[in-house]
Amino acid sequence: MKNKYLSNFNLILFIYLAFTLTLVLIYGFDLSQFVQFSNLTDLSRIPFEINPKDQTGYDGQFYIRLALNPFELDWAHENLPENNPSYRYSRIGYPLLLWSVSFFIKNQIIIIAQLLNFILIISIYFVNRNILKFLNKDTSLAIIFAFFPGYLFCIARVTPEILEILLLSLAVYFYLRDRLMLFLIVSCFALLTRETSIIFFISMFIYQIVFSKKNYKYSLFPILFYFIWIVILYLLFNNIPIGTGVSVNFNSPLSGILEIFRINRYSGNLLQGFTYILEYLHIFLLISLVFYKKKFFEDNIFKFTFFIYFLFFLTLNEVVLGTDWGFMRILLELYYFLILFLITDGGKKIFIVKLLNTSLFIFCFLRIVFEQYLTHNL
Amino acid sequence: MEIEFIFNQLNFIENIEYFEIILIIITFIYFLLPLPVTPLILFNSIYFKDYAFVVNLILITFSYISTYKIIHLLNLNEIINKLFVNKIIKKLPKNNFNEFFSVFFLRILIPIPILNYYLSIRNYNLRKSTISTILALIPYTFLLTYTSKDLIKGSEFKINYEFILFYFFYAISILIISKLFNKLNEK
Repeated sequence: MKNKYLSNFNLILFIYLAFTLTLVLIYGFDLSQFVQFSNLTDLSRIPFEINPKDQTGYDGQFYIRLALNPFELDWAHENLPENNPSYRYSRIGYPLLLWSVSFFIKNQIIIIAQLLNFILIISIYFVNRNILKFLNKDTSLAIIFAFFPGYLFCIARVTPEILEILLLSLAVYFYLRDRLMLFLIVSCFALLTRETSIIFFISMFIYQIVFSKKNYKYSLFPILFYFIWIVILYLLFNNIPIGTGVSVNFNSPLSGILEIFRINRYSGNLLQGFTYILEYLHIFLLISLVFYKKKFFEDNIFKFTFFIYFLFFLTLNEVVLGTDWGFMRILLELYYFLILFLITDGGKKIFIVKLLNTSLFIFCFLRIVFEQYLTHNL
Repeated sequence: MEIEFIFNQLNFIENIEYFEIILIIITFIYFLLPLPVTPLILFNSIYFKDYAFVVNLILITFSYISTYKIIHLLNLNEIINKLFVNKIIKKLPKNNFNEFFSVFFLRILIPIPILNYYLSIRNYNLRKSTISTILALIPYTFLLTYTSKDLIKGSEFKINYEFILFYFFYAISILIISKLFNKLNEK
């Protein structure tokens, strides 16, 4: 059994190390390409050399800038095309963690972020292994949780979704073990990492009402905490993140999904169209496995949470779903609860889950390497 | 290829009410028959424009599921297996890997309706073979749908080598990794 632990541990480390090193080689050892800073960034305030490519940059730049100095409220967004600092500051969890583990060596923060990612992924594997063990399921399936395709995009762009998945996994584990205090600590930290994790607590609250589970304290305290956090953000910035979040990310239901499958939007970019559609079809095939059951409504918190995330997914707009290069990382929460439900539900579909997840992971691996190679070397 | 000419002659279809629904029904029935599917996929691609890929893929998938269900409902699989197939084709050992990947690679090689009949008669697992069918036919359907607009304009059809290389990597990776998965499961 110990050997199996070790072999899984080695496999995870080997694959992610190979991926990261391949990108390092493609970027010509310029680690700032992982973050994609905007060319409006004040270079004098970044303690390492950066080579920005465009004006917009990518999400990772906000987290790294906050991680360099998380207590300077105005600095993180000046000169950047982002007019609501409270939106970025509401996700302070990951920058805080990064800042705390890289306190003395700020100029190596990207290497530290990548090492942290490896640790987080391995932790996800062990936490979910314990969840499966607690539920008397096959623990060897926990390896699937270490190979979600979305992690690759988080590594390639230094974003906090891997940490969020670990915190949600821990929240699920402590909920199952009935450890309220630990549950509340990880839940609050998950909310500070990405506000979308509130969907988990809202779905838990609705689930408790629908199925008459009386332990509301598990869902109500984190929701209450988030409202307090919003009030604090309002006092700090005279603005709240929700307005920006809704206007930037949402549209009428299904419009984003329909746009993805509109083939003419990929005019002139065959490869992009193929990769987006292939990735979404993998996800939809996995989702179809949930509907492939005679008993549709059942007392299962994972299934219930998945459905609420699915409704959220249906309302995301075209910018998030079809323009963002790393959209797979945004869908990680949905993906996590989907896989958790399918695995704990068991049955013959496990083979298909393993296969679809693996093929999607490999496809994303190749896609990122190939695209980054074309972008940086041609 | 003068595809544009053909469509110019078919202008009258714009005057037919609910032609989309009629076309979907015709396509669905057509896909059940042992006929080449490429011309109809191209026609649909030009007619349905933006959402042609989704329409084509859904129709191909449903045609397979329907073929499977019809053959099993009429018990044709039992009859044909007893009379012919078992004597000619040696049965592969049944496991997840063989079922999934024989479908995946046969889909690339054999015409869609013919393979639909074969899979239905040979009692392949419907769920696995449907998913395998979708995965294998995404590139083919996507490429046909995507390039249909070039064909109607009369422009030259260009082979995209990056696309082929990417798909090749994808198919080979699924094969290798899943074989490993299967080996691990057997242990």
